[in-house]
Formats: sequence, structure tokens, C-alpha cells
Amino acid sequence: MTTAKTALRRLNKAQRLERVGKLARGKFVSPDNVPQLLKRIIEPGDILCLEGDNQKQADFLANQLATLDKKDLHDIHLVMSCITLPAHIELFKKGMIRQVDFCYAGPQGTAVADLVKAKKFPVGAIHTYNELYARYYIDLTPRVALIAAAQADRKGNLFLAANTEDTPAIVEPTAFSDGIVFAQVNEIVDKLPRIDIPADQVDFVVEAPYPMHLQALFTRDPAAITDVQVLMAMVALRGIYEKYEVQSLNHGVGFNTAAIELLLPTYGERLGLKGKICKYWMVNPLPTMIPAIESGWVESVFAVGGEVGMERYTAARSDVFFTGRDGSFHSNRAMGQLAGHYAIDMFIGASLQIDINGNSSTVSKNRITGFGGAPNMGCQPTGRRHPTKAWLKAGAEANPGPGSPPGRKLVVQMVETFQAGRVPTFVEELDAAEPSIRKALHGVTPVMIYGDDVTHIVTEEGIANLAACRSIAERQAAIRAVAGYTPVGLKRKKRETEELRRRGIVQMPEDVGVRPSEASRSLLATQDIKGLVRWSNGLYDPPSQFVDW
Amino acid sequence: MTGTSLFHEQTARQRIAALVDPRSFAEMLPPPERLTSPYLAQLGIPVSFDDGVVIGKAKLGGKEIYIAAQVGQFVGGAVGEIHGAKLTGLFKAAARDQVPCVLIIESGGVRLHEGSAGEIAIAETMRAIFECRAKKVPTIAVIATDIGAYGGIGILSTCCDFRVMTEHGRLGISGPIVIEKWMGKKAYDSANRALVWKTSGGKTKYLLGDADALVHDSADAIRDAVAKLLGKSSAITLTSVKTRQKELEKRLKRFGDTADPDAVWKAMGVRDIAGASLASGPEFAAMAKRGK
Repeated sequence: MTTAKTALRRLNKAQRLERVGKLARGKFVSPDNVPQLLKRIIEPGDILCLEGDNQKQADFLANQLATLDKKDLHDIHLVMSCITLPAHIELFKKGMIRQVDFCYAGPQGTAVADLVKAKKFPVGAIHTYNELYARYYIDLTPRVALIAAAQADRKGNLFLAANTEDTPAIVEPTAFSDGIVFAQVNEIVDKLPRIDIPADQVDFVVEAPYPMHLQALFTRDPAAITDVQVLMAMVALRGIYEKYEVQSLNHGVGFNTAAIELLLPTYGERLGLKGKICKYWMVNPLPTMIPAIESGWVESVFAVGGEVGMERYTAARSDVFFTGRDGSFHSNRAMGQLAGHYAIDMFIGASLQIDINGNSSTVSKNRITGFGGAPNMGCQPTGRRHPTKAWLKAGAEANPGPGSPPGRKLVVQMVETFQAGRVPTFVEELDAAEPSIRKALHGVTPVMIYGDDVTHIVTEEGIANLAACRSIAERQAAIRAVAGYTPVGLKRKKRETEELRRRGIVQMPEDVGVRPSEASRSLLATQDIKGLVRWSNGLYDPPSQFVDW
Repeated sequence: MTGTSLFHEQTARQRIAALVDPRSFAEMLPPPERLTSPYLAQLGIPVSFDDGVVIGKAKLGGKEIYIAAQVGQFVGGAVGEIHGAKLTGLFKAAARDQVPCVLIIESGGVRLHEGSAGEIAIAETMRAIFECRAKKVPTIAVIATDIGAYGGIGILSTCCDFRVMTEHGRLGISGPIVIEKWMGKKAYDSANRALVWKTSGGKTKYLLGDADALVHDSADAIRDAVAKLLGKSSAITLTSVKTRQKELEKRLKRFGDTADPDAVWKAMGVRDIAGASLASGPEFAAMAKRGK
């Protein structure tokens, strides 16, 4: 008879731990023993989760894993959010990986595209974040998880600091299914500031010889915001934020939305919008939000990750940010994405390419990046039931049928009509629709946000309200109307544009009360990083690459 | 706290317009005259109808001045034959008419595409500046952008009577990348922006006495500083040159072996380095004990 003690999975874990023998003292492993230990705890055919988040990387463990060879370790089913490091790519080059399921490969996008071309990238699917975490609980439950934490205590409890990110979503399914959790930590201490992962869920800990790789991803230097971006921000503020009274929202990480954040205390204040919009945020601690927070615009901010340099500021403003009792910043990507899915009025972000139907993507033949979190927020949550003003107003505009929800989330794409190097943003067909990419992805085109989910596109030309369009042809005409001098835009018909403008589906800056001549960087609450430090009363410590003083 | 127009973000013509009395600027050899570089044309490189420098006459606080502003967006404000000739002519006119001359600098020095012509032009402009100084006609350089004053223009700026700087402004001979290339990344990391500004930025230059005023990055503040200096001049004599040489020798002896720019600040009497780093130009000027 099978009992809890003889269940095969549990027995298998016990055998793996047995094999470790004296390589570990209790839970603790010396850095030199890590490659040997990895060989003993991982078996061919395992689902292996290697923690690679948007910002935080279990880089020491990844590097040790990459020192092994195919004869040591093979037929691994790798699951991870972000393929970020050269060590990740090395595993594929060595032929150790049987299948990979992931979300995002930003920094290694070109390397991944090369692996695909060389047929060395056996991908299951590219996921959105919550989709992948959900599968950790269903059919992609890790046997072994290699994770990263800031500190461990002598019992093996873990402190994740500001960048909690994906860790709980990896540890829980692994630990509760007789899997093995192995954490690299920056340091082992006697007492942790707070316990994020209990020792009971951790099997091994190594004090890494160098601190984990942590990328500052969300710092946008106000000095790089252009007048055109200020114009777009003014148009968005009047034509969308003000119109729908957007109270809860997520901002992407581009310069367009940074411009909006920096306009709140100046232009927004002048429009009398304080207290009416932008109160509740699901967003990382963006340095460009400091002036709005200091001006009293923001009630709360929940984050999926941290941002380098914002530690002291967020601790001081624990009335706005979620923090531990000691003031240390707290984030959680799975819960943040869930919040961004169900609990916000608006998602607004940018994209590299938008096709004539409003589909967007950042993937091309030579650069396979994947998704990340935008699709979880940039979509219609049809499981939503609670009403807000913005949700109902946007819903009414979309003219819901008898079988549709009454409300709609605002999903806004904010893009300049051309990217750097005069590459048009608007295209007839996405590069992502390229047959070789579709083939590698089992017939799926990697679309970031589907046109059906998008309610508005904002460009320097104006706003296209896609939700108010009544046909596919109308939606295409609305997109052409704001696509400027791109090939897509040049195909617009004057009569159609005028008709759409008359019905308010297309709005030019002057239609929403914005004078383009007024759009200037001088409207921003500050024009440089040093200004953000001053707004923070010296509590913001920008990363060195942004400091010129 | 609301935003204002920053001087370093303006174009050359906007800077002049913001600095001088309203509608008082009359441009000389304006773009319609199409004085362009023959060398760039030969190389198939785009030319500019002002060759990267705007010159003319204006009034500042009711007083007549000659004024020039370099266009950093055009080949980094680098000096070619035409560009240099315009500057030489302007300073010669200033000397002839006994009218002060203000130069808003934004240049990496000589334009490599026309090296010899540019070198000669800068030398001729320096000579014209010395003519002004011999006649006690004030010459003032304004350095307010990160392109700054480098190479031959860095030297030229120090030939003027006075230099007005902002914290964004940089002044030097060799640029950071060149120094790194010759001395190595260990000696000078050009990607370390804090280091670059602490060695060549406005604050340090003011502290060492190379800049005569350190002001806010706004046209108003720069105008006030220039207006105060318009009535003053310092003629060059053998004694003044020798005195300056002694000062520089003393500085080299004092700081020549120092690798840490903070040590220079400390030695010059700056107590709170972090606070002084974060301070604006005028705040810094108020807290720093300035020396030679």
C-alpha cells in the first residue's frame, strides 16, 4: 500500500538528497561544491526552473550549471521567466536542454533568434508571466528550482529584499510537490530583516561569491524625454486620463509614460486633475513618479519588482509603497500581474510594431524577445465584475452586446509613428508573422497585445479610439488616421479620417484641448535625474550610470 | 517647483535671443548668405548655411555687444575655416569698435575634416581676442553645455577675460574618451560621468578659479552674470602672464598626483562632498571656499 512515506515522488526526492551526502552541511553548500551538487540533485528528464526574472538573476547558480556538460546533465526541460544571461544561452549550445518554456528573452533576444535558426532552441511556448506561473502548478511543476535571495539566516529562512519578483511563485509549487529548492544568497546572517520564504521550503543554500545580478530596468532619465513625447503625454492626459477619470492604472516603462508622470504635478495640476486621476498604481517604483508622489497625487503603489536606488525613498514613503515592518520594499510579480489584470482601470504602454488590425509585437526574425507582463495587463479581463467610472464609461462606448460585460478596461498603446532610425511603427503585417517564427512556435504568432483588446492608440498625430469602431474596416481606417507618414498612414483617405474625426473616434491634439505649440520639455516637473533626487529630498540614489555630479 | 527652459537645452539662436535685449540681435552673415564649408562639400558631408556658428551685434542691458553662439548640433560645434573666420572677424570688429564680445561656446575644438584650416582659424581668433584685451575690450566666454569647450576652443576660452559656467558646462583640452584611450580605463574611466564632471565640470572649474562665475542653467542667470562682467576687463601684461604661470605651477604641485577628484574638492575647502555634489551651481558657489 502506498503511504505518504512511500509515495514515489517523495521517495525520489529522498534518494536525491541521499546522493548529496557530505557535499552539504545541513542545508549549506560551499560554492566550490555547487557543480557537483547540481549533478547529484538534477536527473535527466527533470523540469528544472532556473530563476531568471525581469531584474533579478540566480546568476551564480546559472554560471555553475553552465560549467557542466551534456554527459553530466541532459534532457532537461527548462522553465524560466526570462532568458537573460550568457550562461542561459550556454545550456542550449551544449545541448543540455530538451525543451524550454519561458516568457521573455530581452537582452538575449538576438542569441535566441540565432539558436532558433540553428535549430538548437526546442521551445514549448513563449508565455506571459502569470500564464507560466500558473503552469508551474499544473503541468510544468519544477522538480528542482534554482533561486536567488538577498539573505539567508542560519536555519535557511530567506529574505528577498526589494526584488521579490517571481520567487514565491517558483518556490511554492516546487516545495509542495516534493521538489528541491536551492537558493543562492548574497550573504548569510544571524537575523533577517523579514522572512519572505520559510526555511521549511528551502533545501539548500549557498552564499554566492558575488552578489546576484540585478538590473536597473525602470530608470528613465528625464533629460532624454523629447518635446514630441511631451505632446503625446498631454494628449493622453486630456483625451484619456481626464475623459475617463482613470483612477487605477499601470504604466509601461518607456519615455512616453515617464513624460505623463512628470506632467502630473505641473500640467495635470493646472487642469485641476489632482485627486481625480492616477491615485492607485500597479507599477515598479519608477523614479519619475517621485514628483507626483511628493505632490500628493498618489495613494498607493504595488510593484512586481524593485528598482535600484529607490530603497531609501520607498522606505521613507511607506505610506504609499508596500513595505515590511522595517520599511524594506516588497514586491511580488505574480500578485502584481493579477492586480494589473483585474483591479486597474487602464494599462498604457508602448510597442515596437503595430499592425493594421492593432496587434502589436516586439518580435522579429533576428530578435526573439517574447512577452513578459504586458499581455497580462493589456487585455480584457472578462472575469471582472466590479464597476468603476472608467470601466463603465469605456464599456458603454464599446457598445456591448447582450452577451458581453458592461465594462471595459482601457488598454492604450502609446507610440511615436516612427521608431529610432526611421523604422515605421505601423506596418501592414507584423515581422512576428514570419513563417519560420510561427513554425518554431507551433503555429502561434507571438502577438504582444491583440488588436481586439486595445481600446486606444495614441501617437503624435492624435488618438484613435478603437473600442468605438463598429467594424474591422473602421478600425483600420482609425489606425491609418494616426499612423502619420508611415506607409500605413499614407494610405489613409481624407474623407474617412474626417468622418471618424466628426464622430470623435479619431481626435487630433486640438480636439482634446491641447495646443501642440505649448508642448515643451519645460512643462516637466524636472528635466533631469538630479531634479528627481532633489524632489526626493536626497532619498533617491540613482545608479552610477545616471549620475553626472 | 515647476519646470523652466534650460539654457543647455536651447538652440544657438534661442540662446542668443534669450540672453540679449528683446529684438536687439542683428545677425551678421546669416544663413541666407549660405557661407558653407568647401571641405565638407568635397567629402560629401552635409553642410550648414551658418557653418555652425551664429554671430552678430546686440544689446545687453542697453549696452552694445558683439555676440556669437556655436551650434553644437552641427559636427559638435567644431571649428572649420568659415566658422573660424566668422569668429575672428567678430573679435576683430569688437577690438576695432571697442565693443565687448560674448562667445557662447559649444565646441569640441577643430573640425577634423579641415584640420589645418581650423587650427589656423582658432589661432587667428585667439590673436583677435588678445587685440581686444590689449585695448581693454571685455571678452566673455559662456560654457553651459555638456559638449562644453574642448580642444582648441578649450584653450581659446581661457584666452578671454572671463568665463561664465553652469554645472552642466565642461571645460578641458583633451576629451574624456581621448584621455581614457591614452592613459587607460584605470587612470580615467570616461563612462564614469560623475568622475568626468568632477574633473572638467563647471563646479570644479569654478573652485579652481578657471571659471569666474557659476550660475543657474537659465538665460536670466547667465545674462546677470555676463552683465556684471561687461564693464570689467583685465589687460594682459608680461607680469600678469608670469603670475598666472606661477599659479598653475602651484596647482600642479598641489594636485598633480591626486587621483581622487573629491580630494581636490576637500583641499579647496568643500566639507560636505555629497551635499556639494547635489547642490545647484549658485548653491555650490555659495558654500565653496574658492581659491586659485
